[in-house]
This record gives sequence, structure tokens and C-alpha cells, in this order.
Amino acid sequence: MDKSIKIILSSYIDGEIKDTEEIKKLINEDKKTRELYKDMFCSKIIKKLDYKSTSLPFEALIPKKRNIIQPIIITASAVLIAFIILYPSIRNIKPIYEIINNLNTYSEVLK
Amino acid sequence: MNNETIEMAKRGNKEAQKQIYIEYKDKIYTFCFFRLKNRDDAEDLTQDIFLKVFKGVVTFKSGNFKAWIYRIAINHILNTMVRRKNFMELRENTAVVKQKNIIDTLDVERALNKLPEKFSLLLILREKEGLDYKELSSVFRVPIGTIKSRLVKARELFKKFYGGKNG
Repeated sequence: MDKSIKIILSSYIDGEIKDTEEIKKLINEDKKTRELYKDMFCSKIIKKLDYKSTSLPFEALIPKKRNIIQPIIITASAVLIAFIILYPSIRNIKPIYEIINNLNTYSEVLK
Repeated sequence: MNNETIEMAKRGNKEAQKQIYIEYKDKIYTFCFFRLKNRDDAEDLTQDIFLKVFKGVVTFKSGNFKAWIYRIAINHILNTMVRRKNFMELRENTAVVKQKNIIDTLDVERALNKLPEKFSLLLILREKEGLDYKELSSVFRVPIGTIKSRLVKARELFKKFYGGKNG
């Protein structure tokens, strides 16, 4: 079949041709053209395909600014809480130099 | 999509960008899904395409916004497919399908997947999205005459692979 008639039929299917009467007549009268028209029209079924829906939110597209203050506050809070919990245990710990001094005194006593 | 929204999006207005996203996200996602046959890949691609759209919207001067978005989508899909040739293979859907309309849908999708990209993307944009020849010419950056002859070839191949179920 002539390529130009295929292009004309394809354009006719797409509504891109103004003068349609002659083509209609050709489709009705010529069997080969009618068959070709039906074959071309087959692609119209693509329109029936449903859109797939995506749950991808818009917010996922925008990279978030890094929040620097939040981790600092969390770390500081954790240190403060740890200090409050451990304070009763650590307040009675004597500095190491006192122990050394006491040891020295003790050794001197022994002498 | 009205010009005001596009202008606002150009200025980085998040609400305008969101409006564009809501309008086109399922269309672009479906467009990607038909080619990739994989939800995760299609979502990744959709995300990349919209990032490109929002980054490049400042360069959009005038004309058809829909065609411009699809142009970006097609470029991105084709580039990705060149990089990842292996995902051309059709992943068979193993779900048990009983309803006739679902079988039809799968047949249509399979037929589309057997077509070369330039033909399947063209058919989807024409038949599903309803882009006219002028818009298609702008999306694929080829003359209208080429669009016409490609559509004939695409329709012939689609008919061949779809198996004359509608004919």
C-alpha cells in the first residue's frame, strides 16, 4: 500500500486533517483502505490504559536544609542528664593528688 | 497550566512548583512506568525528572509547557535507558489475572514494550496524552512530516505486536 495513503489515514485518525469527506468515502468504498484504517485505529486502545498513581510526595523532591542546632541541643541535653544522674556518685570522689598525698603520709608513717 | 503559576515557579515559589508537580506527577510516572515496567525505577526517574524541571524552569521562555516537560522526561528516559540497557528486558507480570480488561491492559503494555522507544513514547504521548502533531514535533525536535511517518510505523508495529485484538 502506498505510504502516502497510510500517512493520510493516520493523520485522519488523529484529527489532523481538515477535509475528511474524501477520506471517509475512500474508507467506505475501498476494502483495502478500510482494512488499513482498522489496523491503524488499533492503537487507540492505548487511551484506555489507566494512569499509574505514585505516592511520591512533593516534599521528597526538595532537599531539606541540614539542621545544625538540633543535634547540638540533643547532645547538650544528654550530657546534662548524664551529669545530673551521675553527680551523687562522683561528688565524693577525691582528686588523685589527695590520694597520692595520703599514700605518701602513710608511707612516711610506716617508715 | 497557567502562565502565572509557571512564572511563580520560575521565581522558586514552592506552592507553584507543588501545583505543577500535582498536575503532572501521575502522567510522568505512568509515562516512565510504561517504559521501565518497574515501580521503583519509575519513581526514581519521576523524581529526577521533576528535579530537572524545577531546576530548568527558569530557562522556559514561552510556548507549550506540557511539551517542554515531556521533552525533559523523554531525554531523561532515553539517557537512563542507554545507561541501563538491561532493563529493556520485559519483566513478566506473574500476578494471577482473571479479569478480561486487565488482560487487555497487559497485552497493550506488552505490545508497547516491544516497540522501539521512539515509537512507543510517541504513541503514548499521542494516544494517551493527546499531544497534537505540533506538540509532538516540539517534544521530539523533528519536523511534523517525520512525526507523521513515525506514527504510521508505530501504529503498524503496535498492531503487529498487539495481535489484532482490536482489529
